[in-house]
Amino acid sequence: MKEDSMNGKFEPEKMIRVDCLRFEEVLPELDRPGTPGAALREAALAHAEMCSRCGALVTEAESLDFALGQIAQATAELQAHPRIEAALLREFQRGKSMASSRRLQWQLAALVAAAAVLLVIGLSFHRPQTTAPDKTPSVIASSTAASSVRGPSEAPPATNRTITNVPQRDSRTRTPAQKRDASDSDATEYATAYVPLPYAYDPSELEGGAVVRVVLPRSALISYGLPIEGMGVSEQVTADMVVSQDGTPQAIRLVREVNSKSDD
Amino acid sequence: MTRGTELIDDGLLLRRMIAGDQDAFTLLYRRKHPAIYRFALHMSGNCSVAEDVTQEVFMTLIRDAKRFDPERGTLGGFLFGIARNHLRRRWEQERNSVPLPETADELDAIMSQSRNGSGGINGRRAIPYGNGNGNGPGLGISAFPVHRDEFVSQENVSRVRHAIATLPENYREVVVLCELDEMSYEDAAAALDCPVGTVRSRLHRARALLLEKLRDAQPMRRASAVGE
Repeated sequence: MKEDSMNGKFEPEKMIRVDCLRFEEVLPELDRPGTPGAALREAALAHAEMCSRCGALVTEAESLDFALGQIAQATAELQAHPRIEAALLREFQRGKSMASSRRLQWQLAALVAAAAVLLVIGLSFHRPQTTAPDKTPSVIASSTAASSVRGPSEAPPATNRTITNVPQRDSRTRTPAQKRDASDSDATEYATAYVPLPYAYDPSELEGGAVVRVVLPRSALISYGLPIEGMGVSEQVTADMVVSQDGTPQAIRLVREVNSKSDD
Repeated sequence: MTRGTELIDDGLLLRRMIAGDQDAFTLLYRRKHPAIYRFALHMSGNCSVAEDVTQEVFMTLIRDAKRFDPERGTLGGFLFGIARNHLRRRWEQERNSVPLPETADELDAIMSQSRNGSGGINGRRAIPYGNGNGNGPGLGISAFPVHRDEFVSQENVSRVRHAIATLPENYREVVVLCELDEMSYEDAAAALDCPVGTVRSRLHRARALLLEKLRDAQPMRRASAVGE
């Protein structure tokens, strides 16, 4: 009750009433700010003053709080021994060095992988460049003699030479004899069999070589070790020459056009 | 710790620590380890276990800091979670080796021996009343407000400690966090990874259990509480 300043009468104080059940609910929170118990503290204590049972509960709770407070204070400043911190710092440094070495290993592995990828890419680019001429047969006309068609015995230069590049697949599957047969099927010209040149290598090494149509003086045939008896009187002779990859002549055959045959 | 370093956010410290900053780890450890150590100490009643658990918690943080997800809770809660898991694992391993002091007499012996600076009983380190590091005087029982009947006061404290040690784990956790570490309900809920309402109800139930245990043991004397 409090006195009304206007008319001097006492009015009942506006306070939430707390019964025993509610009191037991809020008792542990009376001193805990921000909880429902703290908001009802005054009303709860007022109830405890009137209720002996709840008053006894307050006494017990205070004793418990006191003991808990003592334990809390006794241990409030406790910390782990400094050796724990030292051990943890050692572990941290160890982990850091392991992480950096792991990072280094990863970087090395990435570098190796990148190098491998670059190598593969480089090889894949290099291969088409070296094999491209084989894939597309080309005809190169040249009016001058090339050293590549010269034999090691310094054969005289051929003139009006036509170089037919043989696809690699064909050269791999065909022997000079087979090439002759193919040429024989051409009805416009007559050709002899290929004759290996004296210094020729094993014909099986002619893979990737080329057949070169040359026109050369008859006297040059002698330098290739070929007999010229029984040949026509023409000064110029047409021949197919099998040339290895390094440009060395390996075999030769004489070619004559059918109409020129009749001339002879 | 200087005032400036106290202002640095836990998350920032953790990020720096993950990046390899040793000072950040040291700061984080010094900031967080006392609460973890006390929690483990109160839960186990054993200094060696508390130190082992503290070490394991921060070892886990060093090795697996990226497991912490700020969206799921606070760093403190994450560390308390690791500590709880380690404690549970220990209890499972040492189920038959009596990890907690079982009698009030043993607790009293631990407390009195630690007050006198000796090393505990049964080979276990006792709870020191200094700062735990052996550096400086620390806070001893003698630093508390002197009561007329100190013996009764110590008796009550001893009984309460024993009663806490025999509480079920869930209740002991909330008593340790909310009463002994004086955490708010919200912080305790974050540490225990449960709703605030659960913390509140567990604490009520834990206090009721403690009072029951204390009533069964011996009526508590109000005089010791109010310094009569």
